[in-house]
Amino acid sequence: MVKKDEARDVILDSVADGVFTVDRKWRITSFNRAAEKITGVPREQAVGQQCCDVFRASICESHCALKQALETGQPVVNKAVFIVDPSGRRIPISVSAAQLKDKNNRVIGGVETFRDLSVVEELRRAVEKRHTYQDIVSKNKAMQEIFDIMPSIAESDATVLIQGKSGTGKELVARALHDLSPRRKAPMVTVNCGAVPDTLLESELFGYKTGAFTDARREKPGRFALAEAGTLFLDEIADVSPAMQVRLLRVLQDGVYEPLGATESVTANLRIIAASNRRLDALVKKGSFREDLFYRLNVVQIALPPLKDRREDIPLLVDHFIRRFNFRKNKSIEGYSPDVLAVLMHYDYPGNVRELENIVEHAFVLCRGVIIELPCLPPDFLAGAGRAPRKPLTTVDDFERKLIEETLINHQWNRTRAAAELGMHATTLWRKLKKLGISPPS
Amino acid sequence: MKIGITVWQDRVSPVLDTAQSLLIVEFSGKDEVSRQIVRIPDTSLAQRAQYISHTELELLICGAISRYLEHYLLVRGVEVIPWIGGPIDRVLAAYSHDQLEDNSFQLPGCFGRRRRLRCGPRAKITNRRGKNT
Repeated sequence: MVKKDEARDVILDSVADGVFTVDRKWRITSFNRAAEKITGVPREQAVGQQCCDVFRASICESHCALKQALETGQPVVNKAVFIVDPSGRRIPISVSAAQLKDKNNRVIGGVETFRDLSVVEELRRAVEKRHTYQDIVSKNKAMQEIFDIMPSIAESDATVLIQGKSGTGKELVARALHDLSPRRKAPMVTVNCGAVPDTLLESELFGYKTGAFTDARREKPGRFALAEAGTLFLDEIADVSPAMQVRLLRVLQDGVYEPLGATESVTANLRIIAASNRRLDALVKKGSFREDLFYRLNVVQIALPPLKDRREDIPLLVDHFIRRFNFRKNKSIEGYSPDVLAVLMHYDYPGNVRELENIVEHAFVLCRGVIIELPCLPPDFLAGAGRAPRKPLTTVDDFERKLIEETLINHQWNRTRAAAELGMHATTLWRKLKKLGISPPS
Repeated sequence: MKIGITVWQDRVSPVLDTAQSLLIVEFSGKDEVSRQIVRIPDTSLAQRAQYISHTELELLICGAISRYLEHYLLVRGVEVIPWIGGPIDRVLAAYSHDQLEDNSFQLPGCFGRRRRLRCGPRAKITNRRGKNT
């Protein structure tokens, strides 16, 4: 028996994957050399202990692979999780688990094997790094050109105008410019000009002094003051009223502003980045945006392409969102089916990257396996992409209803002709319509 | 003295980064005054640290902890005794008798030498009386 155990240990120790076994009370009964190496726990300290105290995996509390295998009798294969080693490092691993049975086929515990994915993860990060710039993911040529010039723009302190449709990542670009700039230690303050009523925008931007108006009992600093020495990001600048445009123009021209109720001007020490989802030059031509303000803002312009013009980024972005949601939602989705990718690649994304992110998040809510399949995608999106999931026809009634409806549609709901084509009497068709609840569209 | 222990199935949760419940125990001297369990939101590490710091604990006892989360808690001024395992009542009793240093409460991989010098990124942490260990 001792020789048998020794032989088993020799075999297990020669395996490159970590392997441990537990009894029915979750106590570790064997622990191979690779398991020692990956977890950082010596075998003599591991054996006899509760497996969760040794393994310390992200799934121990909520989705224990061993528990699942023992309860269902089905093995768990390659679940992506992380463990925490004694130095506090999070080690990415893939876990498989199965029941352990004796010679009488009785379940005596479980076996778990795991593989260190640190190297794989490092390679993935290296590849991702090539296509990621300050949290912006893209390998599109136009985007790569923007990445190339961003350090120079950030360094320059010039006013920047970012143009692009909603959801193209204007705020991410503004954040990247701030983070790369010499002002990065000071705050970046964002104002969505379209979300603040025009009557409040002035006090919001410039602040007010005590007694500037009724209820102004205390002085309030504006966003210009809050962004002192940093960056002020004015999003949706096209929504600013003509009166407010004049006030902004003064700050950009003279570098000074007056808080409401103030008698003296304040010098603004900040960098302004503005963004719009509408073309400001077109608004200037229409007369709804001041030409002089446009030229003051448009010192450097960055135009972000819509997602439909950078489709090559869709797989990269989906992978990026899957990793992010796996971390945030403690899930272990591994990827998506080829059908899903085909649908994602052929859609035009009016909501751009934000819409794609929402689609992936929706899939995370519905996806029960490790691969995102078509039914996990939002029905509205599938309908828009021309791939609405069809309800499977499961009963004779379903087949009959579908056949009758299609025939009626082909005959513009003329029941006599439809009945003739279906080979039944018109009265029989009428009875079936009643039974199946089919009625012409109102 | 208000202390917290992350709890799972009447034991210390194996990993603080993914722990879901926090037992908050109030002591008056060595006597336990009250217990309350709160749910830790399933969010990012920074928000997890923020949530724990908002519970105004004077000390947090937990199982394994990643260096990122320990850093976030440190920044927020939360004192932590990590790498502790075992049944909650035994851990609490050991805590009130200053016996948490005992090997039997230390997670495997942290035995042998003094736990806090061996496990986790920090070479030194303070005990609940503020002494360096």
